Amino acid sequence: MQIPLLQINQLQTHFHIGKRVVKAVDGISISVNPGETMALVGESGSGKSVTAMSIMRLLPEAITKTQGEILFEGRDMLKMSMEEIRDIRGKHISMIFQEPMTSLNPAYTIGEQISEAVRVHSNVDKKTAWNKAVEMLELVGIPAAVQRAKEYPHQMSGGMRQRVMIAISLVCNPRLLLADEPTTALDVTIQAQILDLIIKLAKEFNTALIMITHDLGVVAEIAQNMAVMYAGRIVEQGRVADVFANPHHPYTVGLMDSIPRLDGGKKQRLHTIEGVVPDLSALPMGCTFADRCEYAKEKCREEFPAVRVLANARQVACHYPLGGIES
Amino acid sequence: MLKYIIRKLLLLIPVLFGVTLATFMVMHLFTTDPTEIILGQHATTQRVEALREELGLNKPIYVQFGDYLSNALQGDLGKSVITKTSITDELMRRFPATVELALTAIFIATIMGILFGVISAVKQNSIYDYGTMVTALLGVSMPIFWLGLMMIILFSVILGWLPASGRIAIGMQPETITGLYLVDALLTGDMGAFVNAFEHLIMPAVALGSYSTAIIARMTRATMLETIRQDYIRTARAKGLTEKIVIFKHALRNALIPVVTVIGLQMGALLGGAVLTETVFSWPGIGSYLVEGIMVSDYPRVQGAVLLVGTIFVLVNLLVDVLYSYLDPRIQHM
Repeated sequence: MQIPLLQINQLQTHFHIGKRVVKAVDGISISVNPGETMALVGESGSGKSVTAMSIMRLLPEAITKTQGEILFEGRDMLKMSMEEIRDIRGKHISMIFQEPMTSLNPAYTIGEQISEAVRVHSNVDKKTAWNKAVEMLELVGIPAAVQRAKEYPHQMSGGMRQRVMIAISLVCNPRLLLADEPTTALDVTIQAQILDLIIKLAKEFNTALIMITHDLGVVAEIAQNMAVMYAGRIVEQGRVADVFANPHHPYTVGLMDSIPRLDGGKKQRLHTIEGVVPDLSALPMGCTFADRCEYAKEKCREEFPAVRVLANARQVACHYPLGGIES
Repeated sequence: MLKYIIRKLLLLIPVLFGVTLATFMVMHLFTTDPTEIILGQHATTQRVEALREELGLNKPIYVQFGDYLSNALQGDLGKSVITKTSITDELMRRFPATVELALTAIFIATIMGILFGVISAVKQNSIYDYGTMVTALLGVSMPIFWLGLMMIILFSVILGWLPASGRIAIGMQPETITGLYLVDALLTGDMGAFVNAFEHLIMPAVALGSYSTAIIARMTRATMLETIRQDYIRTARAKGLTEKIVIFKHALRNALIPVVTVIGLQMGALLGGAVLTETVFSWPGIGSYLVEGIMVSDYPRVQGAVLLVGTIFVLVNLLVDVLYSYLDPRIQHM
């Protein structure tokens, strides 16, 4: 068995805001193997981004309380000093953010911003770093890279800027890339291009990828494993093929039903999941999904369902899973 | 860029014309008749008329203004009605004193203001932050002349550490090269003069800069707080940069853009508006010259000083505009 590149055990990330405690991430466990792609799926507010930010330790320390373990190559990142974390950031683990329009510093050229990432982590002179930046720009498909490296972010479109972000994140050849909805803010026409680019380069650089998305179509296309998050917890995870073939959790089923289907009848209306994600500072006692679940019974409102581990590393957190499972 | 500067310089013309016209009108319409100041209340009508003739006051006001304007364009701001000395010469003689004071004040204010503002923002809501902001509030609220007097009482009268007035001890003036005593003393290697000039300069400069320090610190804090919440700061951290580089390279550069405007405006104000400080500390600059001129209704003196101050103010603002487009590449030399 392979040693996982990243293993998260019972991670809790709680925000203490005044007297309220917001349980943004509440006891999740996932593991990612080298070179593998894992998709983190869920609607807004389910804790996907907070999970990624917890790994990078980018959350404001004053109000954040983190517990559990985040083992990167066997070392617990939550116990590392800031110095050790800085050494990992950008070099071993990188991140691409959701908003390309605001994620680049308006005051520096993109060449400077890429070569800066090179220079923090390796002892090279300015010229070498700059050349590396230009090379990366070519790699992410920016035409006339030599000239464009001298341009500022405001001179580029959103798609271009996201390409630059990809260049920054991969320039040090990291082992893990966290992509936090990298295409959400982009035009539909550009989305596929950017996604293809990330997948292609991740493969080329042999970088493991955690793709945060709410688009199940993307998941089916690119990931080997997936975890479905709801209200700070993972309700179901497993190999993508298995989960798609036979989803066990009612929430996963709901998500899949809300994708428009080509073979659906004309009159068939798109399925929606009624209700909204519960308030993370006042979570119900039982299953967090119970209020929106059409299969919910008495027990669901009283007791939180424990995670059941099934065959093929499949996990589900539901009292009454669907699709027939033998335990 | 050059086109932009030239356009701005052309805009100077109507602004300065307006300044000249306004001062001229105020001085001629609302102040005491200078003949009364010079000759006293009991002078004979003939003597008054003779003096009015001599000063050109008997001509229609638009002719007087036209004369003044055409002379001013040739660099001649007229003669003081009291001392009969050339105003241009007097302004040129005093100008370096004002420049030295204002530059030192703005230098202190910029360094201290930005430093306090940044630390305050980074350590938001800490005791340090509250302490700085309360001090800044005091700095904004305290009138300069009052602060100046208190400083004189404390440092000159009680402690006896610093001289209370003037620019340098008599007989210690360094050889004039730039007119700025500190610079001249350094250039000629006259350390005694340097120390003495510095002792004279430091108190008025701190008093003059106190308001600007407070304004700059507040502004820096506000813009820094906004900037460190930006996505690109998160990106910078995600690259593995140290907090020092994140704050001083990535955040400060962006946070400074609005602060530069404030510094520029303050500098313009200090160069021209050191009136109170110069008076309290008997600093021989433009400000005290202006005040003395007002006291004795010496209208050419007041006009000349105001015109100079106005010009400086506008030029400093132009400088800020240029600096701005360097700091923020999005402002492309329109």
